Amino acid sequence: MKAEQRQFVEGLMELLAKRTPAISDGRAEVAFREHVMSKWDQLVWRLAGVAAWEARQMDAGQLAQLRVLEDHPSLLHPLGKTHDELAHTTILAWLLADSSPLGVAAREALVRLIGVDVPLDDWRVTPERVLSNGRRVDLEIDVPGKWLCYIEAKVDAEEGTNQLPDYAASLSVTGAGRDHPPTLVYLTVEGRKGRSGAQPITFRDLLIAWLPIAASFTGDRATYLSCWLVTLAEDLYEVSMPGPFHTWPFATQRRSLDLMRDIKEAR
Amino acid sequence: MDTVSDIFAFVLNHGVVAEEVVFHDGDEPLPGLTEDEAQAISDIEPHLEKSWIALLSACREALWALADGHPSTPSVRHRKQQKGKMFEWDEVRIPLHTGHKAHCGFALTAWGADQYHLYIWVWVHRDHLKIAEEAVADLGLDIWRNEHGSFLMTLPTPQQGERIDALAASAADHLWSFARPISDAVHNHIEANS
Repeated sequence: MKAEQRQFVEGLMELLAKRTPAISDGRAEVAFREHVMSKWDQLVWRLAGVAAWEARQMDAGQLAQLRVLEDHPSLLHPLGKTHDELAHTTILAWLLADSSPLGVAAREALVRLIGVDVPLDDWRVTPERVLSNGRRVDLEIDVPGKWLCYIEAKVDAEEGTNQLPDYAASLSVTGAGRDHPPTLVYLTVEGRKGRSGAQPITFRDLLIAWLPIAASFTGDRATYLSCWLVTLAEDLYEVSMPGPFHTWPFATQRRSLDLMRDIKEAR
Repeated sequence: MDTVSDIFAFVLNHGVVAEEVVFHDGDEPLPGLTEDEAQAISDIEPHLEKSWIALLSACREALWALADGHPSTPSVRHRKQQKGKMFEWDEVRIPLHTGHKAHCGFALTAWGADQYHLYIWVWVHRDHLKIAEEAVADLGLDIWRNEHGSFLMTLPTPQQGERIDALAASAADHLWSFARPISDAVHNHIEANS
């Protein structure tokens, strides 16, 4: 740790010591045991009732989205690849390269998510793109003359040494002189605050952006998209389970209801 | 959250050092921290997230209020950025044109400096850069440009005890002072050429 970092930490600890009241006894814990833990079953039962009530309040669109999660199997689970970055980015590339109405809707939702507005046609999407500096980025979206975007995805692995700065440097050269500034997207499970000029998004953000699309299209593409979104929902975030909503544990129901609320707010 | 807290101000006043320690990349805390220090830093992050969101969303609200009745009003409330993203991205973006030929925004970021600053900016599509430059040329404002064609202004670092609504109102006033003429110029230019 550098000297200025140590100085910052010590200053912060000093500040926190001044403002945090010392915990002098275990009264809060005793009260928690007495008033909450002793009635735990009752509380869970009531909360489950609230979840069922909330589920009944969903509008037709939200019910259709919930049905996507109830009715489709996880795409990557049987392959044992639920945490395989390459499998996820290959599906992303397949979806974004698709110029059908569903693919264009997915592109539109993605650019909205990352806060840029670029043309939605003539996207050239390349997974595992090798850059001039020898690095390999998970996904390149090249809209000639208009916009260049790199997406780096992490499921379990950590960011490599200087990985994002190297991508940013390459992007600033290759993507310069186009209509729109280049974008570096850092796609992770848990979300990380932006560094190295990268735009952080999560797989949950994609779930929020694309579940309404999966629910409003039919056909093979929509089925594949639905099954991949179920992989995200079941295997990365535990916001759904196989089978109908009413059979899911309370915690899963709660997470799925929060997801439905976030989808509604994002639209 | 009405005012800038001591912790929020402390972090803002330590810029890139605070960023390296508090928002350290990766699952593990910064090497060299004791367990108590790592826990304390982890505990303040929710407060910082609330603070970031409080300030940037107040800025957006203040800009919306200023833009009421202006031709750009339908666009500024269009595609509302999620509040969580204001913290993750360090900024809030606001469209100035429904065809997305111009955006503006507020950023609370360190950009490698010793302090976080509140930055206000307008970005225009390169087709409209020249008219945007003309629109702000005589305003006498201390606006700088980055390599992507954005017009930026740096505002002071928020300090402990300052009111969030006052900071937001002042930032929105400054932004609107050049976002409005740029927005007008872009709209007029597009209409004249359509």
